[in-house]
Amino acid sequence: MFHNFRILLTAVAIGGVSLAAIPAPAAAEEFPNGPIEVINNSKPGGGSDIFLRFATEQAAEILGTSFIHQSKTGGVATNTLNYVADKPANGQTLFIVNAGTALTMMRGSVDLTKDDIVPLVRGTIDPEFIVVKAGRFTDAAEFIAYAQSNPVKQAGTKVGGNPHVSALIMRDAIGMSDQVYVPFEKSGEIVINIINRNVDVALLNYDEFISQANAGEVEALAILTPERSANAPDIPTGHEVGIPVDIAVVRGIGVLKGTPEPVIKKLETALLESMNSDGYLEYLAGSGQDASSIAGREAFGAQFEAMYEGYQAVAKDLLGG
Amino acid sequence: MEAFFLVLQFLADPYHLAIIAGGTLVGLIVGALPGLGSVILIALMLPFVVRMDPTTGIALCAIVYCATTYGGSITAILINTPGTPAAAMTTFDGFPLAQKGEAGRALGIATFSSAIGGILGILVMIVATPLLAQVAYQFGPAEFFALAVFGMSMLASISGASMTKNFIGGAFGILLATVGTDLTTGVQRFTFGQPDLYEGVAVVQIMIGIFAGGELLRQATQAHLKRRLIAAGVTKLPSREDFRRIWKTVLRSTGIGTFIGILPAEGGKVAAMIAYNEEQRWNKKRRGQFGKGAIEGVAAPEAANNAATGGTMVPTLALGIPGGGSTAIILTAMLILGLRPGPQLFVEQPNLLAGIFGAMLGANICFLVYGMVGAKFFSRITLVPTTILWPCVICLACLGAYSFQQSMFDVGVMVFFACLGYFLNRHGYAPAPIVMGLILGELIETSLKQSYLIYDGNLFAILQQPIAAMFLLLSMFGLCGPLIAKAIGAYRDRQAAHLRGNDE
Repeated sequence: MFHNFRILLTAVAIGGVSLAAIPAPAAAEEFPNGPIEVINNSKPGGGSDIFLRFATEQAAEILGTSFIHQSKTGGVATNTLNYVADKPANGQTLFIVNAGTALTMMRGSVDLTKDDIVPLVRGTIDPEFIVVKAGRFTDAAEFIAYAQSNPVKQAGTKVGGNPHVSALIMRDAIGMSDQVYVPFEKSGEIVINIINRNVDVALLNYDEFISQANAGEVEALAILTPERSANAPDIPTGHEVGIPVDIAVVRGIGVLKGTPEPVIKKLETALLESMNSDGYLEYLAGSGQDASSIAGREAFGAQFEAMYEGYQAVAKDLLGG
Repeated sequence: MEAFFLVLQFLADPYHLAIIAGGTLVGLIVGALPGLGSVILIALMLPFVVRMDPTTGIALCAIVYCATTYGGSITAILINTPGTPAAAMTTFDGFPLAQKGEAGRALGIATFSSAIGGILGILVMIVATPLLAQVAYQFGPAEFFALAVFGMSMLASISGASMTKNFIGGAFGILLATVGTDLTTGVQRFTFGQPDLYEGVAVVQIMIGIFAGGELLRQATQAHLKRRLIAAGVTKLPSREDFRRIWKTVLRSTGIGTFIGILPAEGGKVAAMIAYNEEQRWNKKRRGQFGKGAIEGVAAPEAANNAATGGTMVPTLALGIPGGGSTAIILTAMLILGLRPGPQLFVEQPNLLAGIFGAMLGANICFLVYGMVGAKFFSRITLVPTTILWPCVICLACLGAYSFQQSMFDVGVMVFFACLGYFLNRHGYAPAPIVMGLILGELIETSLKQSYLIYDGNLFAILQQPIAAMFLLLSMFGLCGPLIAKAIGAYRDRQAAHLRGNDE
């Protein structure tokens, strides 16, 4: 009887403590409160959509909630950011952070600036390769010499988009005499037009050209990263051959600034754990990447800042006319 | 020969058969729902697919791809709403047939043509993928420009409406295609500062609006009229005579569909468009009947868009270059599963290829069965009273417009085009030329501008590309052929009269 009473007392005491504890660190305890929305700026099935689905797959289990993926396309990331801007900063809304996000903010077509968001985790850093028709140039040096004294037709996607910005960065780094930018809608078309010599060169990701490189139709002259890739150890970096720029397709997940720190911490941990799972690493391996693509708040924040500034240099030139 | 045995071996496994039966059913339903299609379905399946064994996973994607392409025709015929963009051309003759009380016949023709087109497309693929892939290398902007011009050359006669109205409709379609940020200049055209218009107006919304919405409004004005329901003929399947009538059409369209599918950037949509055009050009017997319920008008686009599914797999597997949205995601899945598409795939992974081909063959046979059995039931939808059916359709139309990009703006676009479709219809403008302008107009403009950049502003260089020159020449013949024939006829008559005159 007495024994039972003590248990009862203890139970009440614990109950009281836990009740009292709710208001203070509520943010992290109560989070997530219902499903988490994930907003991307590509159509369903597009690159960013697929990235987000893989990146959040395990996080749903870790956080004990579900993720709802929404596409808000239009104006690069304009509609995505406008949608996000109306949401409370409570961590229930995540969004894609990539070059498009930076470019859209730079254009000033949205109210959000880079200081209003927290780039939370990075999921992909897919390096660009300088790709030409196989056998056309013996090495990068020959290509650079050619480009400095001849007009070069460079293929990419939509004019004014981030691939175009990348092409301009490459133009400046090489000191091309005359770059004619020929835009295509899909990377597949770009590869075909390099092979049939309608265009001279393009910046492509590993998975976009590797089939044709193995078939001996195209070849990569350089990879635009600080280090050589484990996948293609024979391809020199841009730094080695005299094109000292780093260009990659960077994709990550962001959250609004003002979100309580414990919530941010919880999300960051969960997303990092989710991305270090076998499923996500296999997804990365599909495009020739590994776990080094994954990074947390600190590294990704710094990178987004650097990306923003790098773009600003050429984008003025681009947006102005 | 060995390839065929591997295909049979894949199909002999009951597990694979279950996947084919299930995948085809799901694909068929999603394809029939307006706005939803293979791209969205495969994207949703992707996280599960990459956990499966590679052959089964990729096979499942291929099955779904085949089944959705066919599924689009069901709603196109029954409620004038293409389930997928590739089925837009199927509405031109499919819906008039359903209105005449021949829904079962139209569905049967669509099912049969789809399956035959699909199966033949895959057989071609099994035999000649590495060889066919070479065609893809030959197609640059100049060639695409010429191909689109060739398609456009049928604009004047694509629908029964007057030639002038067809031209006006076509021009309007081309104008619509210009909305959005221009690919080659980055300039925004007709966007009115609306971010939703920066990427252009989605073809799906326009089609749902013009076809389903326009029809809904038209029916609404006739709600007081008692519609006579010809129940007897509705569930009747096509007769043997029908099949005999369309076999040439199916073969022709399968050829066109496979060819266009192989090209690196175009898929079922353009394939169905060109096949429908060519059917009109070649089938002189039914010339006046297209757009009014000619079964050839259903058979041609359906055979072509299903043959194109086989075709688009060719560059995806053999070159690692996807031919369209769905194959782009299939390619992603293959890369995640550690498969490297490319010429070496055929040597290294014969089992995988047999699996894909087998699954696609199985899916086509499977939907042939579902479709033929189902046609009897589906066709009853046309017997549902208008006052119940069309409100349901408008819900579906809104849902379809929304779900494509999860945007209310798109629903507004759909409603706008519904109203427009109604007025166009009242004044005798057919939707066909508008859709043609929309689909081919963008291709023409983009490829012309790309050619301009590639040939340093010298557009005559297009004529020096043999394939491009051939298509342009064909379009010239297509346009001037009737005139020349008329002139020759008149000349002969004069000669004959002259000779007779000499005799006297």
